[in-house]
Amino acid sequence: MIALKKVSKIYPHSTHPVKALNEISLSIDKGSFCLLMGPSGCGKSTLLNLLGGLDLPTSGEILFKGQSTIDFKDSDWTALRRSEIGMIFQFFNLLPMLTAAENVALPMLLRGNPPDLAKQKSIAALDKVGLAHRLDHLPSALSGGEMQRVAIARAMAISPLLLLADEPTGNLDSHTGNEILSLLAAQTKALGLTLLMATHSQQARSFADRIIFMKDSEIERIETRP
Amino acid sequence: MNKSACLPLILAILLFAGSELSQAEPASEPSRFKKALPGYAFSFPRDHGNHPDYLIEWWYFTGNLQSQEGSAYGYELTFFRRGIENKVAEENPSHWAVRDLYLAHFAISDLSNKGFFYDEKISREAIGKAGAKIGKMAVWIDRWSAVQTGDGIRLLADNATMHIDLNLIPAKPLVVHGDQGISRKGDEAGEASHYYSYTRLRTQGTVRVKEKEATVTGLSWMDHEFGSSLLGAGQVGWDWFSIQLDDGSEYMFYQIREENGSNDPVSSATVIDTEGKSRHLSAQEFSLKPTRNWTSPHSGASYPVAWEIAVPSEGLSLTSRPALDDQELMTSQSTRVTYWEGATHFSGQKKGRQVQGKGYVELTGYAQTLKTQD
Amino acid sequence: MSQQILLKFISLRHLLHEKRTWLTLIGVALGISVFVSIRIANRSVLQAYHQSVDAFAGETTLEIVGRSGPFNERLLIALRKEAAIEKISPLVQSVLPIVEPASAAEEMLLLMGIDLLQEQDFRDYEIQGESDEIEITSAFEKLLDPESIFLTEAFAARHRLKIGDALSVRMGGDVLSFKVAALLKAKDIGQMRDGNIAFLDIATAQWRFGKIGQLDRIDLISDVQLALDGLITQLENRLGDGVLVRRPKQRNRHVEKMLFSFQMNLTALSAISLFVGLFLIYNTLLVSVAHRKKEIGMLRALGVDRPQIFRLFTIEGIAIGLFGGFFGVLMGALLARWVVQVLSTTVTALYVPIPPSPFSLPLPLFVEGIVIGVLVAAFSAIYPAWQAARLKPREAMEGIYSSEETGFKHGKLCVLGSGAGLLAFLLSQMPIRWGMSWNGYLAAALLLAAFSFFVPSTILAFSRGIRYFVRNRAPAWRLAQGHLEQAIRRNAPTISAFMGALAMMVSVVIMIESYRKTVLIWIDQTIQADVIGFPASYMTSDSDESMPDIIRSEIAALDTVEAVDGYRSRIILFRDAPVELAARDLAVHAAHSDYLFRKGSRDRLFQDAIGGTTLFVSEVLANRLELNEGDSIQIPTPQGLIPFQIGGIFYDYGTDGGKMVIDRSQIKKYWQDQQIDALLVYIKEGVDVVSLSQQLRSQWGTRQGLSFTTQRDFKTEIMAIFDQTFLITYALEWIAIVVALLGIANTLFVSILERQREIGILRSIGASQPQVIRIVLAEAVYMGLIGNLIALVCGFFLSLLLIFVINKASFGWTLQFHFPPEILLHSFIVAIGTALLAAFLPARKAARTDLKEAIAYE
Repeated sequence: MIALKKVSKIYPHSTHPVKALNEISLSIDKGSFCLLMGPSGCGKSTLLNLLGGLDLPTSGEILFKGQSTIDFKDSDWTALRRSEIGMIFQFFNLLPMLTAAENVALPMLLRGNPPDLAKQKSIAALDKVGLAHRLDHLPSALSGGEMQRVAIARAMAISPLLLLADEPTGNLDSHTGNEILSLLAAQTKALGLTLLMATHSQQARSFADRIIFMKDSEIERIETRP
Repeated sequence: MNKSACLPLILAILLFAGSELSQAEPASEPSRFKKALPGYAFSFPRDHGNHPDYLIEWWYFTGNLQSQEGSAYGYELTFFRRGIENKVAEENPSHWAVRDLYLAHFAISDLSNKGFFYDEKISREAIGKAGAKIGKMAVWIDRWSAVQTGDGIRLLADNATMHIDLNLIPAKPLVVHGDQGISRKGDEAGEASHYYSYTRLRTQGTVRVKEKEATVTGLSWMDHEFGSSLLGAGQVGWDWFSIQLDDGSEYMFYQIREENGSNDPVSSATVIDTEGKSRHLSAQEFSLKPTRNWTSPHSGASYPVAWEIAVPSEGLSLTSRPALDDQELMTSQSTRVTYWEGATHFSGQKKGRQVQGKGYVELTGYAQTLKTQD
Repeated sequence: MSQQILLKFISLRHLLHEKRTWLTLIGVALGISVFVSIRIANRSVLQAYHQSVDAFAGETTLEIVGRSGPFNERLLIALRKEAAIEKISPLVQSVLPIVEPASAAEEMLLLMGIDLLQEQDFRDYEIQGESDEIEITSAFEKLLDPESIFLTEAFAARHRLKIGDALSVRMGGDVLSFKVAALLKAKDIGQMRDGNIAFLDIATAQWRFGKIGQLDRIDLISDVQLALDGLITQLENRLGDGVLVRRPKQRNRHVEKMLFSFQMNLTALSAISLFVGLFLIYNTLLVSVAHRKKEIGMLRALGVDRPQIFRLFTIEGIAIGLFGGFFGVLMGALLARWVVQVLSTTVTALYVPIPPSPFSLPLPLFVEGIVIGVLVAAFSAIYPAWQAARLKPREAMEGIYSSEETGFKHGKLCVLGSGAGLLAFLLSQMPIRWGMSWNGYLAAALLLAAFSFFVPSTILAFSRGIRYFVRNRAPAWRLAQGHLEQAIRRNAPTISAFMGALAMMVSVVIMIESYRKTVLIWIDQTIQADVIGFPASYMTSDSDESMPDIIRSEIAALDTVEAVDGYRSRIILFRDAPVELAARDLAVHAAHSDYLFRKGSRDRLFQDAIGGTTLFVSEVLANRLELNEGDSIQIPTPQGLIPFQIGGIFYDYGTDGGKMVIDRSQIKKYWQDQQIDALLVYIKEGVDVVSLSQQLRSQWGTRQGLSFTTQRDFKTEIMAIFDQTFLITYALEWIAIVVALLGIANTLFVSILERQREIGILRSIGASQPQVIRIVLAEAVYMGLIGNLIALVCGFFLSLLLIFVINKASFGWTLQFHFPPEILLHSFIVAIGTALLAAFLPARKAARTDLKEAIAYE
């Protein structure tokens, strides 16, 4: 599904350049549920940003579905995010002036789907995350768990191949976090999509196929589960 | 208009350039002005009035006055008329078209306070702004005037600092100067004027200098002269004397100076005895000798202000002394001529007797020559 | 922590490092520059005007002018008897077009005939002869020579004229030839009319101008000890009612009053930019407060007290005002160079000849510009600074969005707005008197304020109104709509400023269009002559050139011509103020053309006036002097005061000084005036206008110095002059729009800064860069639309004020209201265009947002 070849990311600074990732090589299979774990500042978020095309590597190569992204322009990454890569964040990152349904429909609208279809799909996606009764609520009227469900619904609605999640439970209590993790696991399994999730949550380990431990910008070890 | 650069030397033209102007006229267009020629018959009051047929004319009054409080004054009030020859202008029906130009000088010597004040005017006729009547004496510019009134003449002149209002009554009949009705000024025919004077005019009236007004009495002298050319070529100026002696006689002298420093032989004099009978003196019959010069701090010119005068045939020898040194007029505005015209005291001997007198002396042509400016 | 440290560490850094500070600075500078440039130009023009007047007057303490025009010179005789008068200088003058030298051809020359012998007491100048050694005789001859003319050095230098060169002017077909006798060297007089002024002897002037026995003016120098008022009465008693005795300054009081109104209008217009600049500072600071909430919270936590926070923001505002003022003054000075030129041309066309004004930046105006900048800034900083000061530390530190969530009290604003609107209405209903319309300007300001108060409610209504429509549109429309409402606090002042600028634009356009339309109708109805003939210099200046009546009869005798109306215009002093007295062949005019009378039967009115002592008065004059139909008025004529009855009051937009019309028989009778200024030729049916006008041109044109123009060309020319006079008005409006544009750009920039995170989310869920740009542009379009919507309504009411209150009071014209429908389209285009232009840079910045930073919250 995704492969990294000696990917490094260095944030330039006149005196002390920060090496966020150091020659990471990694490959993730289609349909796997992968966790990225490690202490704060080890490079988890950087890795996710690179995979989502929000940032570009300093050196090395990222392969998506076997295809090199080395020559990708912003518009190519945008196209990928529209149809194949979904993203979920710790702070939910919903647009505050849009309703839940509108938030979910937005990516589809952005890629040019007809509004009716987008609306239909967004209702279906919210239904799947158990929020059919919250369609017209603004984010400010939703609880943390609900907001993250909306975010998941938004990410899932475009039927991505890859889901990148950055601490999706980091801002939730453990009970709600567990619900969200179950939801994510169920969805990935059901749709056969690939999930890469950066997390500190120990609960999450029980859902994972693979756990990648990072330390000081490098991969420390990888645990694989049957 | 800047006073130093704009207006021409009108008095200079008036006094000296007349002949040149007339001569400059093309022969085909003869001057409209008559020449002063011998044989002129004076007639009064006609000849008190204006003579527009002549290029140049003036009415000239000077006098020495005393107030009851003992203050002494000298005064001068002169009106000039100068005809203008311009064919185009003569066709102009406007009342402003200049046929004649009028000028006036007015000076008061405040002898007790050693003050000397003068003013001047220039004007065209301009619907009565200035003028001179024909047939009687009446000449004026604005409120300055000399007008015949009954048996006398009334003089009026004023400005912000001074004022005179004087009545002049002749104590003697008028005197015609020169020979055959002309007073010669040069050798050419027409270089002459018709010239008469009232040599003793009993005067009373008021004089005001600054804030001080005084009732005055005294003696005045009047000249009235008209002609079309007064000075000949090569003449630079003149010295003129009017003397009223306390024995009741008067003397008039004038000498015309030439460029080469000599005096023109046409210089002459007139003696008027106590009865009013006059006698013409030729240049050989008198002598005028300067004894002291005064240098003007204003113009830098040096004037012979004191003289020794002798008329051997009259047994007369006089010395003159200016009542005030600084009686210089720099008439920049109207005439651009600088001259000395001052009340003067005379004393000496006549036929062995002591005589005293007062009068006026006019000294021209010391400050500048004909065509220069400044 | 002391205030200085706060300022040094915090304010200075914000001010220097934020691009929008510069935008604000430019906007404020631009606003002030417009205001300053108009002030400079007004002042320069007035100064140039006064200078020319003073040069004319010189030492003169009083002057005498004829009420009916030139007066009899014999008046001098009576005048000379007045002991209090020390000097008298009579004057005959004429303004005529130059024929030779060719380089000056058709330039106008003011020829002043004076008594050169006594001028030195009156006017200060120096004559330069050809050398110091003037031949006394020639100098003297020159002075009074009928061919002599004295020119200013400026004029002579411009046309390379030397002493002795020829100069000629045209007068009704005659050419008057002169020789340059000397040059006048004087600063004042050289500046007057650009040096196009010449002196000649009064005798020559009377003769050659055909004014034998007449004077145009007498200048007096009176005894300085005497009170002038008493002397004026004394002289008027002595001289009779044919003349007016006045101080030289009074000569122009009437012109000055009109100039004042004109300049006041310009100043008011230029103040709009200032007003827009005020909003700009207000907005910048408000946004700054919102943006720096965390910082404020931290400062408060560190022990900075409220007054210090208040001062911090006030001083930041003042700093913007100070620098904006400084640059504004400099820019204003640059701008003024152009404005002065245009203004001189306009004032010359409308009121009095103004010499090209010397440009200068006087220190007081320099200081004034900066002070205005600081005051405007301080005023607009109060509310934002207060907002900053009242923040609670904890709230402030919580985050960005909180500020937008507090309830916005737009209801209260609506009440305020209604109050302001009502007050504006009441002010507009006050009775109109000629002069400065304080109530009108105040009402206009209140109206602008009123509509500004309605902006927030309109934003909400608009946002809600379009919500349904945008739901199914591209997401940019929906997102922009959301932002619009969310950031109402920031958007409202921006839209207000933009609305204000646009509303003024709209109102001025409506006013000008109404005016234009009115003038067009007026021209169509009153100028029906097929060919119009006049001296070549007639249209563009104050020329005194005219033509003899014989030309009229000659042309009338042509078999292609139906009738010719001879038009003669004179200036008389009616109730001490100059009024144009027009005389024409009313029978011809009535048969072929028209006047638009306020009331009464047209035929009847003409009937009464033809050959009789009934006259028509223009509406402007009637309003100004409170004259009515049927009134009997005393018209000064050379024969004394003659009673005339006002027959009709007609609309007239040709002059602004007011006009009276009488039958030409009357001017022949009372003035013995047979001259004509213009010929109005009516052709027989079927005659070709163009070929007739060509015939007229070839037969009378060059010989008599006449121009013949067809009705169409004549109208075009009038409209060209009309449009020229409004050039500056349009320019002012555009600058106000540019300032507003900067306001929108500024607001959007801030909006982008605040929404980085949001943009990050959008990008992360697949929004492309062009899509982000579109969102920003969409928001700008909304702002433009709302601004435009309110501006149209506000502009409509403002235009009513302008037309029916301010203009009416300032100039006396009644204009027909005309709403140009195309303004709807134009203002829409301007609004959207401006908004999009303003949004372009912020949108690009938004698209380039650094994504990982935008969403990073770890």
